Amino acid sequence: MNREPDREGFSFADTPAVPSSNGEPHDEQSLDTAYALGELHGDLRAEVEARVHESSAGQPAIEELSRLGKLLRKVSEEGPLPDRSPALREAVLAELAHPRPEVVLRLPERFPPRRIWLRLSLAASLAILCGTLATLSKTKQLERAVADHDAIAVLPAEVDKLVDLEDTTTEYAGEQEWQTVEGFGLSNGIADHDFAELRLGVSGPEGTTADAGGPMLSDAWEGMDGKHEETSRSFFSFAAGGKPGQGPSKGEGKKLGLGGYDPATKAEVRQELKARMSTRNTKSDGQSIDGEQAAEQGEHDGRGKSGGGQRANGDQNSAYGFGDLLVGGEGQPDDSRRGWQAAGAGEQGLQAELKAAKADLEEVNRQYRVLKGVGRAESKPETSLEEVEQKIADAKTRLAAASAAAGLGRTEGVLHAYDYAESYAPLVENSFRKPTDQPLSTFSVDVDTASYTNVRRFLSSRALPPADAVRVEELINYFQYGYPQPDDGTPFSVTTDVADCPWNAERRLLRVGLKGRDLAADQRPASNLVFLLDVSGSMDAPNKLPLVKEAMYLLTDKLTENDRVAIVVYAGNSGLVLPPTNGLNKGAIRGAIEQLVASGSTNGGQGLQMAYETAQSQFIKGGTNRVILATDGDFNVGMVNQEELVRFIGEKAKGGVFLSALGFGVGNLKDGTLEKLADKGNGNYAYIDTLGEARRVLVEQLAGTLVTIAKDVKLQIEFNPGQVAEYRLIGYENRVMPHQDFHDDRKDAGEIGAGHTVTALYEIVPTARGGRSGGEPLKYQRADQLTPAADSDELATLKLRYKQPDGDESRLIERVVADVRPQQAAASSDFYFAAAVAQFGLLLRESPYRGSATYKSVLALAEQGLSNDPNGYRSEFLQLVRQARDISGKE
Amino acid sequence: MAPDDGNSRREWVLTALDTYECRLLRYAQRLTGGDVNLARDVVQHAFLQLCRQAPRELNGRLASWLYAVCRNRAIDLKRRTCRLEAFACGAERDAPGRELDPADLLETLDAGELVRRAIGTLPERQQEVVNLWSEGFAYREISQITGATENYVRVMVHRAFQTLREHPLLRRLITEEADAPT
Repeated sequence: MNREPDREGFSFADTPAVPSSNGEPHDEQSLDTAYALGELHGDLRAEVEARVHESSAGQPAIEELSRLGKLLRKVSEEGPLPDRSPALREAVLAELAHPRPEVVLRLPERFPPRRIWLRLSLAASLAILCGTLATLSKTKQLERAVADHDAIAVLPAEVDKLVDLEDTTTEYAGEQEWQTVEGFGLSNGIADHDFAELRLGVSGPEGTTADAGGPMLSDAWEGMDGKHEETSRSFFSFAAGGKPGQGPSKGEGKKLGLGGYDPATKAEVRQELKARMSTRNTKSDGQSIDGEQAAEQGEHDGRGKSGGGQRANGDQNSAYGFGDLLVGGEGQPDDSRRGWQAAGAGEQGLQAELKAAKADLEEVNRQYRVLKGVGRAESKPETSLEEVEQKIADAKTRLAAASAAAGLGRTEGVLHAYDYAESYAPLVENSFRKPTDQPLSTFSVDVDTASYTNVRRFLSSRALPPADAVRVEELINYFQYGYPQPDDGTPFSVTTDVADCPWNAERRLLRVGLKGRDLAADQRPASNLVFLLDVSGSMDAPNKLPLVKEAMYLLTDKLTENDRVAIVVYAGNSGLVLPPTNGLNKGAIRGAIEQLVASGSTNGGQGLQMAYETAQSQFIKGGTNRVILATDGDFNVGMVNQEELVRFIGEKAKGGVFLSALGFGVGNLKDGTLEKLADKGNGNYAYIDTLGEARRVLVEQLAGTLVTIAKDVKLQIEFNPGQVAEYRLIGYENRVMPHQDFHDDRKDAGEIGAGHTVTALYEIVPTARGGRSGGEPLKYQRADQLTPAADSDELATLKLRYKQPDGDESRLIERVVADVRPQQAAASSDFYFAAAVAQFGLLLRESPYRGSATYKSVLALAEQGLSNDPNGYRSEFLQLVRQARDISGKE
Repeated sequence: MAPDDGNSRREWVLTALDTYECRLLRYAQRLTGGDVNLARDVVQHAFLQLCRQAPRELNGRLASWLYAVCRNRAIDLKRRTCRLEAFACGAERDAPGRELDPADLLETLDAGELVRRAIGTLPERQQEVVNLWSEGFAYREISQITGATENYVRVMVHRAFQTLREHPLLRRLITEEADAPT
């Protein structure tokens, strides 16, 4: 396993050549070529020259090579060059105008000594010998092995090579997930990981092949001469001999590995690979996942979330939000992807279109590569590469132009690549449903407000937010509405009202409002808070770590003797910077906050474990036990994959430690990931863009943020077909649940914090006068198929389930919603304000359901709601609407 | 040049920009698989990094430094989006010859296009090394850019040249040129 790596082509020392693996004397010939191209100097040159002159056959070959060389250089010299970009020059000038401290990124002159690889493979094999080590500890071990190697900067390119080879192996393996460990050897605090990205260890989607991480490394090394078959063989023979029965990748690996072992069946294996690849429809950040696994993942994700096309997993590594894995609620990757693409086809979905184009390209690319790999030239991919590339280029140009025009990026002086690095889960809006076909609408509550703040951030930097960043329910829920306090002992009150739909005169709007019990500051139960702060280099921006610190100071002021606070930071290394400290000891807390500095790379996994361990060690029974994660995005790099991370957090939440997420900063935000983490962690997700927002979340609504008063709150509404022809839930797209999960207490749903309000709106198409048939007698249907209740005025019946924060059994609330017909008194200004916010969301999404909504109508409607605006949030909303109107140039 | 002098640094960076921008963009485009905007981001990243470098540190190897930064950035970005690329490595061992129909191409394409097409049929790593060499870099510089050893570069160039020499698209160019007086 630890054979010394000495293959030609990859050896680190400039040793004389060894014959390559297939026995060809490459080296002498390669010296000839080098000579022909004028790349030899000194003694070596003289030596080769002498040899070439001796051989009569060598001479013409040398001349040909040299001619070829000249031809290549000439063509390159005269070849077309892309145009200069004025934007780049501007960016550089801007950068030069604000000189920043010099940071030396050295290109190493020499390659690191071989022993680092020896150590790596040694550590790896050790890890294997230990055998049963968990993935995380293994990564840690490997990391340590590298870290031990104090002064050596790991050479990225060599690592690339290693990784490339490993990747190759990976591809043969079919499906593996790579972990990225960044920042080795960058002791001088360069945030940039240009020169150091090292990926270690593998783990399958279920962590199944984690044990193979070690041998992969060393075997990949052995395989560096490119003998993939051998590499895969040793890997798979190991994998096959590992723990049995751990998922699909292993069986597959075994099969392929065997093929690799026997050269005679090589073609067969490739054939099979090709077949397998071409049956794949799903992709996650460029890594292919076969149908079986995707289905499994889909099933996992689909739990508690069904409906249209929903996205699962995949955004953690996606720099552009491209190529994210799409898995439908029922584990039908194919369908959901189609649905998504169809949805993105609309003009509003530039980004979606871009993603689709990218996915297409990847598909084509992949086919092409497979074909190339198999060596079959006669079958060409169906789509032309150029075609797809053109599509992508067009979409990207438009996107760039749009964001440039909107001023996105100009806030930072330049249009950075990372303007594209934010990722949002694609959102397909709920459609109209007929109660006769689908009488039930079931969803989980959502008290998150991050989308509103994020939209605000976009608008204040004079850009329209991408449609997928606009979650209408989060916009609506940002505001408090005048719902009454609960008076019957339940943790929240339920309010329903109905009025005309402002953006469609024919329709009605049903509002369902929940109001969590308010909690005075002195009633807040004892709390045990562990802050998990991202202090990686990317947090080094004014609106990130400094804002986190300011927010923490605000919170510190509010702490009492009943509170205990600890701070765990994570970057390249994780650490407990503030052990659990009483809330009265403000000096110590402030001191710890003050010392936070952003540096290093991101490895959230370790920090997360440490945070949970700390929280559990201080567990307060009956109190608030919560980990509060503050990050700008790249959180789960250190964890095995998002699924595992989500599961981990979900388990901890069941154990009573909840998780809340605070998103910070611009450019790298992994909105979907954070929302999902908070969702599974029984917590909430807030995006903090300003100090004001920090104050809102951590001071004004501290109780709501910290104290959960009801958990797993689910709503189910049954519509009366006698009154409702069609209905549509506005927003809550990623909260929709299968109907049968409503009564299933094992299914997770949203939480309500103290004082939180939750508002849901349904757009309703009333039945035509005279019933469903418009008064015409029906031949095939009979009206009496409906129950007598359908004849009533009842619009719908609302059912609600919730659990006490520490309970396991849900309680049911039922409420009948009646519509006062034909006309009713004007709805409350509150109602109209909610409708205005919904309308605004639909406009920003350029939703097909926006009807007659315009910014003007939003403003008119929202102004009615200004009477109830104690905090000024509503007038700020009006500002935003005006900004959006101006940016979009629409009415 | 006084390295810390703002003006001379400015001159230095802008000269570099004038000299290398377009070439780097072309290079980055190759790295990103033709994605122009991604390539722009990559090149911008490199120049923004350059603004923070000490000129004296890069004396004599500015070009290879810029190329290397671009390369690492592109790989970094690309790896996150498109790991399937790595599958192409599997092609490296395969015999060349998966080819477009040379007969039509020879009629219609100019030498530059023929060369680019021929290079395009090489395994990716050979392409990279050959392209860099064609840009005018020596083995040593290529090894600095790609982080590979000179030995590796030498072997890759050799293999690529062997393939190109026998390439049906280029065969005539090489012999034709042999006929013409140079």
